[in-house]
Amino acid sequence: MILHIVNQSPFSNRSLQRCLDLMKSDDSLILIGDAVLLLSNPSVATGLPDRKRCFALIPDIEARGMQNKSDSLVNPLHYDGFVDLVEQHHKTLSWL
Amino acid sequence: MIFSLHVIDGPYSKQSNLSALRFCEAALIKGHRIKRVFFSGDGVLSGSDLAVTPQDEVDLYKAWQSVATDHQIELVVCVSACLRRGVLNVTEAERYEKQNHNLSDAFVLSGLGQLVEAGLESDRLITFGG
Amino acid sequence: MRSTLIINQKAPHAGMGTREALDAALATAAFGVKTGVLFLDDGIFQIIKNQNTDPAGQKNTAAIFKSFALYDIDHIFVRAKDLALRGLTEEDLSVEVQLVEDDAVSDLFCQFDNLLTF
Repeated sequence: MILHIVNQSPFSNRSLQRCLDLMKSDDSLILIGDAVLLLSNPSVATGLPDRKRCFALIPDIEARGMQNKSDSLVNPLHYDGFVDLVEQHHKTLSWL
Repeated sequence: MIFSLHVIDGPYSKQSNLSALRFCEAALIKGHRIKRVFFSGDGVLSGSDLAVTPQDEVDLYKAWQSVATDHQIELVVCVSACLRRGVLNVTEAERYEKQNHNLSDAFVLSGLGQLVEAGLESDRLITFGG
Repeated sequence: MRSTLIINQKAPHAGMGTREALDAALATAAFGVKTGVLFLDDGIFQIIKNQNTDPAGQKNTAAIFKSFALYDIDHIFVRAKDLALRGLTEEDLSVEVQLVEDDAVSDLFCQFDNLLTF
């Protein structure tokens, strides 16, 4: 089980879609930094994992004004939750 | 668990440097150990002792120094990336006959072998960059 | 034996990530660790033949990666879809590679213990 970490906006960078194309069904995804901008129009990405495997960092969501767009698609969490995810998965893969 | 981090971006060029610091802090609060933070690429700018941060902004330079000193974390900057970016310790400044050195004492200059070793000796290695 | 996969995602010449990825691969091999290198997305351009870099003042990255053979780094992978998307074939590359379809790329992420990205 791998935790995939994406931090780039899906509107200006292809790394999120590349990640989604290569994730396995028991992997998880966390959106950090500009990747949370996905929440403004999730339809730009194909193959998002379901909510129990799809996470986003709350400080980054709030900094970018995405608070009202998140709950149905992603599990929002703070950095302590991010740490827990890293612990629970065998390894991480960051998409640049 | 033992974590190590790989930081690729500079302190204010991308958010990822701050994200790495925040992850580090959260991991320590949860009782994990951070073995090493390895900085490559523009990430090595984190080791500069000359940067001045506006008072109303997070001082990432001081923050890295503090977390390392308070929790005995090795902060390693990649030597080849440092030389290219003018981040020098005393030894390298003398070797290359530069007038000044600017690497913070909290950081150590070394090679990519330290990143590889961190990956082999830690339970998790997390990369922040992009 | 521990293993490390070095993942190159970015085109050369815009930064020094290529050089650092190469140095990491050589360092990993020097540790006696099974080393794999995967080229994804624009990372594929790092091993394109016929780079004439002198006018641009850059380093020929393809030539650098040829040294892998000297260090017994022979697990070199390219995502097939990314090569095709760029209108390229194996003939355009400076080193021998294994083309991998997406399922196999995902398997690589599982098979190697450590994943380093540059």
